[in-house]
Amino acid sequence: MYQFIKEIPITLTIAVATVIVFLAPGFESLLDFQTNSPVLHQLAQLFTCHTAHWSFDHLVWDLVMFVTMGAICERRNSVPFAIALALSAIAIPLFVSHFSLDVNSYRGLSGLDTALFGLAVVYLVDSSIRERNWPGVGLYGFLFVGMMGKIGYEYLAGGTLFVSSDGFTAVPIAHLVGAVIGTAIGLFEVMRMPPFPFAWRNAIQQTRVPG
Amino acid sequence: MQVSKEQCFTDEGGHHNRSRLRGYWLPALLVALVLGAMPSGLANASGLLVARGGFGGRLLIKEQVVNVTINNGIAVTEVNQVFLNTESRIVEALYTFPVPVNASVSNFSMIINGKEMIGEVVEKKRARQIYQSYKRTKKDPGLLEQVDYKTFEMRVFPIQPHAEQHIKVVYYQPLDVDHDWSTYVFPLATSTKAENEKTTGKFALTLDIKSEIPVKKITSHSHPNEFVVVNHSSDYAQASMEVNEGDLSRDIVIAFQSKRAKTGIDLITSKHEGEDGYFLMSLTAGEELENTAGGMDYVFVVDISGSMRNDGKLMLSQGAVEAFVNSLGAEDRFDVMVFNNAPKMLFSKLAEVDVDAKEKLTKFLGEQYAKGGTDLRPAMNAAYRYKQPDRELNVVVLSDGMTESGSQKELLELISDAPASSKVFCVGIGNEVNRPLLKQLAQDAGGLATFISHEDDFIRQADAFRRKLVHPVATDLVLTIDGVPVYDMLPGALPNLYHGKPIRMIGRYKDFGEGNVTLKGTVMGRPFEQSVSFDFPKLNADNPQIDRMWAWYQVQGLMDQMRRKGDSSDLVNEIVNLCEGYSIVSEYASFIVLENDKEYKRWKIDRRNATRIQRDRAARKKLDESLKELRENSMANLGPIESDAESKEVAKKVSKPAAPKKRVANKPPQRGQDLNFGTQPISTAPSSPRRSSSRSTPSVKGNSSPWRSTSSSSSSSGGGGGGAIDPITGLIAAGMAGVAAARRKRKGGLKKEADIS
Repeated sequence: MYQFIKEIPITLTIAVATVIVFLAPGFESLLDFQTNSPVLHQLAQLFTCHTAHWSFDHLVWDLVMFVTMGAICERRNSVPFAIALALSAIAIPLFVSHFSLDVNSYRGLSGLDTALFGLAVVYLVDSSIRERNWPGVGLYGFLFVGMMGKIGYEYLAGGTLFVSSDGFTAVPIAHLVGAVIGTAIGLFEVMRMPPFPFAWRNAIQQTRVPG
Repeated sequence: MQVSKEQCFTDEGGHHNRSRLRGYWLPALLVALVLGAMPSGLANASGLLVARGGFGGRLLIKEQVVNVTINNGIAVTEVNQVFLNTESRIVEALYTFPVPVNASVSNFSMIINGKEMIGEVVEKKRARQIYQSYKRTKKDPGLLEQVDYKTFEMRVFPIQPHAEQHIKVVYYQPLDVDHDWSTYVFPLATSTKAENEKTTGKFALTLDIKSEIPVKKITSHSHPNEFVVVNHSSDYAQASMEVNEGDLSRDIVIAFQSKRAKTGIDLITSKHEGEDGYFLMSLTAGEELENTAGGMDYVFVVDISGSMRNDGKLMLSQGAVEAFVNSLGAEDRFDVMVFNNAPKMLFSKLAEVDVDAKEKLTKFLGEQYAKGGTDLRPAMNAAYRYKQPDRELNVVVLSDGMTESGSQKELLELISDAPASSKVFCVGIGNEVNRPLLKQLAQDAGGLATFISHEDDFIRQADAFRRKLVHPVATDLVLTIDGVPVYDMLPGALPNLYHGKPIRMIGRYKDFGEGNVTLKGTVMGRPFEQSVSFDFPKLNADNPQIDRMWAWYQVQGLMDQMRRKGDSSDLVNEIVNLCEGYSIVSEYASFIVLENDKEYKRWKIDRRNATRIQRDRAARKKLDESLKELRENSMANLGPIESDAESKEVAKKVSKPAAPKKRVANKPPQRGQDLNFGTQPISTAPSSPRRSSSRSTPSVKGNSSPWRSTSSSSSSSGGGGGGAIDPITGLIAAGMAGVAAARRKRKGGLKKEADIS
């Protein structure tokens, strides 16, 4: 267990910080990204806004997803994991403020969760291809398509798919940006890893040739 | 004319004076002859401008321009009128108009020598004395009095021969929200109005609706073809009509639907330098409470007394009962009872809602005629006997509430003795309704009151009312505010919360800062408690209308006490103090307009209303500017939509292409603070807060909903966010990680086995 904890220091640090922020009353309002804040304050808020949440329920599922995806990605390779986090942390609030005019403040780990989801799916698909685990490729691919479909639904319907969206504005752009960044970094990493693309090509060819 | 036969021969207290009656028999006969020659109903001609004295000829309403601004549920109506004296003599004019629902008249002004003179509120008798003293010297006073709960009288003197007189009246009213629909009624139809009453010139009404909850639909059931509706943005819409020779015989009814609110609390505040603040808080039940209850029993008690004959009130209530019965469910049962001096039942038992019963109902109602007196007591006693132990009983009273004032106290006592699990709902029919009495009856019996205007769509009203009857109710509600000292909050005890019928609380606060609002109660039989926090600001000049609304509610509360306990000089003094302090017309205080400031000083009348009017107008100006900006933004989006190809074509033709105009997107509005109030999970993602100076920014303090689903989450729609991870996605991700971990473990195990072998 201790070994496991040692393997995911970034994930745990952010998770603990998020919980602390939630437990400190009134602190969250300083951290969320506000479009009307001074520029310098906004620069800090680009990073801090992800640790703030609106309510306990908002926090719980964001955090569960973050720790789960963080464990998969950070254990595999902490460098692309950190890059994906940093890039999406900056990009998500900027995209939200630019494209979602109805949102003038942003909070939550969900955008980062989606980035890590994209990264994790690429890793798992890559591993499955290398292991010629085709049902696994299908399953992870299906989940990725499902996630993109869910974001598409949120975008088109202006609400969420699995829960009631009355009374709030869904902001699918945050999830979309996260998913794109996470997937792109994952693909960039696996494509640079030797013997890619040979490993993939060999795996596919070996499957086509009957034993 | 307003001075009816009865009023001509009553003293100031309204008591009959037989000696005076004998002394004035000749004039009385003359007046009676004159009145008899007039169209029927003119004897108490509400809505007419009448030249008093002489033969009481009518003055013409040359022009009437009405501007209504509805800002988050509070309507401010400004009526500008131009009267024309067609007679060749100096006259005193008397204009009477029915009091709109919950209206508080806040300003009465006249244009005297081209200058607007703003009125001040003083105790009623004193106002009349001042008015009479000016009348003797033929100077310019104006007097606006509330005659009773349903009528305002405006006395204007002198109006020169063939001259015009400009009058401006402003009144405030909180609009009731009924199943997402708010209805605004500009009352014109009265039982005593002459038919074909029209303005000689322009008649215009403009309605600006500003709402934090998006406005989805606007309709006018009374004037569907006359109104032009423009939706400038999701939170601002405008409806207007303008006609020449406008018909003043029909109410103007406009209803607008806002997007259904989630269960939640909204807060609007007002605070001026050096004064304690005011707040208006509303608690609205949301869609998650919209599940149906089992069958219930209904007894419809229909007033067929003589007063219901006027103005088609009986027909209106017949239609309403049929609409109510048509909206009942298969498990419901009903009976209908008509009453005047004695009750008469349709079935004398509770009947199933089927075709046969509906046919019998139509026939039964069609046979009724309005006659006799009004005695509600035997009817209510009979209705209570329908109560059966295993079912809820709803007694729905349809009446104009014209019961003798002496029996009102007894009636209220009877209502408070209603059997357990029974509620009384009151439906006021027409404009001339005893609203306070019907409201109080319903409130005391744990029910609700609603009012149906002549031009209203009562099928919609009946449907909304029926839905309120069956939807779950939050009961035993207690709301406390900590962190900011609050006081004089009304209502003292919160009523039950019905679906589609928000509870409004109004009060005052000291200091400023974050206030923690805790709501406790029982929802669907289970205990509920939740806290949310709101910012009570140090200064907020955007909503001065709340100040007057608070005072008006206080006055209504004192009037309720008087109805229960009888007249009391202490209560009257308190009402007069409030009315004078906040410039509100009531039965005990009137507006008087004098020629200049010197005259006010002479009578030692403080110019408190003049100060308030300045505040109101500053806030109004600010609001107008923001509405103008919204209109301009909306208009900026109009025009041809160019396709890319067309744009390129245009770009080729011009040497220096102009920078494209940035289309301004109006940001959708946001509500206050949502509560997790129901059985369904509510949103996981909060929406963005609008940092508006006119609304307090809420923040979630916690959520202790006892039956919150594991997949649910409370949200703060006052804030923004990227949409949270929902439970399904979270569980899929966790499952994915589990599968990956299992494979990794299996792979590690196989590798170990291979190493061993």
